[in-house]
Amino acid sequence: MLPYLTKALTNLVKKPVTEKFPAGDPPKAAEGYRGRIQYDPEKCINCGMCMRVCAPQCMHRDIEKLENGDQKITFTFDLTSCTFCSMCADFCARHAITLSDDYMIVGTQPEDFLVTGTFVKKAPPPKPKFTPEQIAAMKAKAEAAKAAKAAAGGAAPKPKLTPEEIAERKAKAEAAKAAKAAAAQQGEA
Amino acid sequence: MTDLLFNLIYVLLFPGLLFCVVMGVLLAGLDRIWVARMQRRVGPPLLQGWYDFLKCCGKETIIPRHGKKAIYYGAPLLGFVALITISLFLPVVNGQAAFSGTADLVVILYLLTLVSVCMIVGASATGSPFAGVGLSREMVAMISYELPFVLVILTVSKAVLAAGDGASYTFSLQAIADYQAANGPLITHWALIPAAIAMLFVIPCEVGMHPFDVSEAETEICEGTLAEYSGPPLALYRLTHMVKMFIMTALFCVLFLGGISTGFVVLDTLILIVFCLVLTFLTMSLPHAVCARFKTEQVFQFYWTVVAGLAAVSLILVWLGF
Amino acid sequence: MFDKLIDNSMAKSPWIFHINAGSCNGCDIELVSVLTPRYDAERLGFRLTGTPRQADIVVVSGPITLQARDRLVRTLAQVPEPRVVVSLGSCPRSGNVFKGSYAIDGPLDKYTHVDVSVGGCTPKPEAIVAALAQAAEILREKRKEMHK
Repeated sequence: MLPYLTKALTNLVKKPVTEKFPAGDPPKAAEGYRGRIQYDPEKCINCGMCMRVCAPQCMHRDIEKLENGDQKITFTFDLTSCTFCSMCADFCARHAITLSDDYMIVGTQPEDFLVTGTFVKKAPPPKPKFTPEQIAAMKAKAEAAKAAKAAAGGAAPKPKLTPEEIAERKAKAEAAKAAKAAAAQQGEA
Repeated sequence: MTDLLFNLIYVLLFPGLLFCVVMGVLLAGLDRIWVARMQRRVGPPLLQGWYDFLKCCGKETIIPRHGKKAIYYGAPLLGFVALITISLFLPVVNGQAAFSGTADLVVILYLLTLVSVCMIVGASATGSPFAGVGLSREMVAMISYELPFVLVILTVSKAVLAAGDGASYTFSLQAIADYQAANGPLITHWALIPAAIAMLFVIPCEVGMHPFDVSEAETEICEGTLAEYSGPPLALYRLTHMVKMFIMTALFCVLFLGGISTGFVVLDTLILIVFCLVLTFLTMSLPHAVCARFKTEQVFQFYWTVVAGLAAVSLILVWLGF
Repeated sequence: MFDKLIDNSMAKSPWIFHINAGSCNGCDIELVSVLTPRYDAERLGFRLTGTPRQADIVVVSGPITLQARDRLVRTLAQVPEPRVVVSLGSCPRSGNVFKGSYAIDGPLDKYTHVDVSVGGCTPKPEAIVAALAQAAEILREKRKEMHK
């Protein structure tokens, strides 16, 4: 008990180690801390990978079809559901999701815990239209190319081996096999 | 008429209600700050005990279904009144007590027991099993500290009696104060030093401070005796706890450090306050910061062997005339 | 005037009761670390009580498991008014990774009004201190409304 006693008495004259926090600014989080999610809708391509890898399923995606065929996509991250595992950020091909070092996730309303982002995904350009003549011309061109290829393939026959050559190759292979077996026996001995 | 007025002042203001509450809150606040500083924390504000009291006053009181309402409210009140009554027997005004009698030490002993008994009765009135465990532990703690406490009081009265002039002075605090005013504090008497150390050990257990607070172990038995208390009755229990710190330290001052008088009431009171602060630090803050909570049987064993032994050694020495 | 004194003391001495409703112990450890010398919530008057009867702030951690559900409801009913409920970590608000499990019956909003929530898995002690300070202010407001 004596060491504790001396420790307690020396602590009495030392300064307290307590942080001043609720009075001043919150201290900075450690390096690599995974805090509040930050989402950049400009980089997102709506691949949906983050939703696949999220264990607690904290993302929600709203897809709204606009009149000109574009899609208005809204991603919502619910931080009360997040485990801050950083899987979504790791799997995001375009680095649209990052985890900041802001750990002050405190609030009284559910809205305080939502991170949202909206972007418009352009519809693909319309297919080009062809007239029947153009199609016929293209078909004819393709046929011609096929015929030319067939003609070229017929001109080059496969080279054939004589029976003597085949026998020679077989003997060579057997000799190699025997040599290998002998080496293995020597090695064992 | 003036007698009545003086009595009212005694009961309500100076050694009575107001002074006790102020001193209790001060000692409790300083104790918490000292403990915090010994653990290198900042600690709560000085008036934290007072804030706790006010807050508890503002809370709703829930009486358990199987509780007895009259006892639930009455026990804390009776305990608090009994504690304030003790302060009237302490000779703090010019070495004179507000009320004195031939055997007021025995009355103090009974009143201190009454405070603990009120806590036990109040806890049993709630009908909670946690309170049941708590009150059985409180009883064991009471049995533990009562024996050395009685031995210490016997020692002091025997010492005064041996030097005094008659048997009628034995258990009178006033006589002890008079003796010390004439012959110097009793702690300078070497045969009484073991008894003084025993009394120092009795103080934290009597108050129910940390290493000996077996009956209110908050993590093990849900605050034990206070498990079902909320609102104003709880506030009164907290205040009783704080005032008890002052009463016990003041009792030590009267028994062993008396007779230091300057003749002025204010100066004497200041000296008493300083003694109380030092005693609070020594007997309550330091063990709180250093020790973990004892088990119930450890408390019993410690008090009936070490502390009672110290007190008994002193009693035998005094009896033999040293 | 007396009422005003009590209101102000309300925010200065809030006592915490902690309910573990199936938590993984991460949030529980962080809550206890709030009382350690480094964060020292006692300087704001906080105290960890052992009984719901004396509590002002109830801190709930963990997804509400079926085993803990009835105990949680009974314990919350025992806390005297005014009281503030704080949900600690992601679990009580949503179920976190246990969302949709047959063994949990959350979220906490189903059983009581949640006043302050702390996000994070687990929250940093600074965030918990900030939430508790906010809860103490809400406690004062609730008490003011009680005697209005």
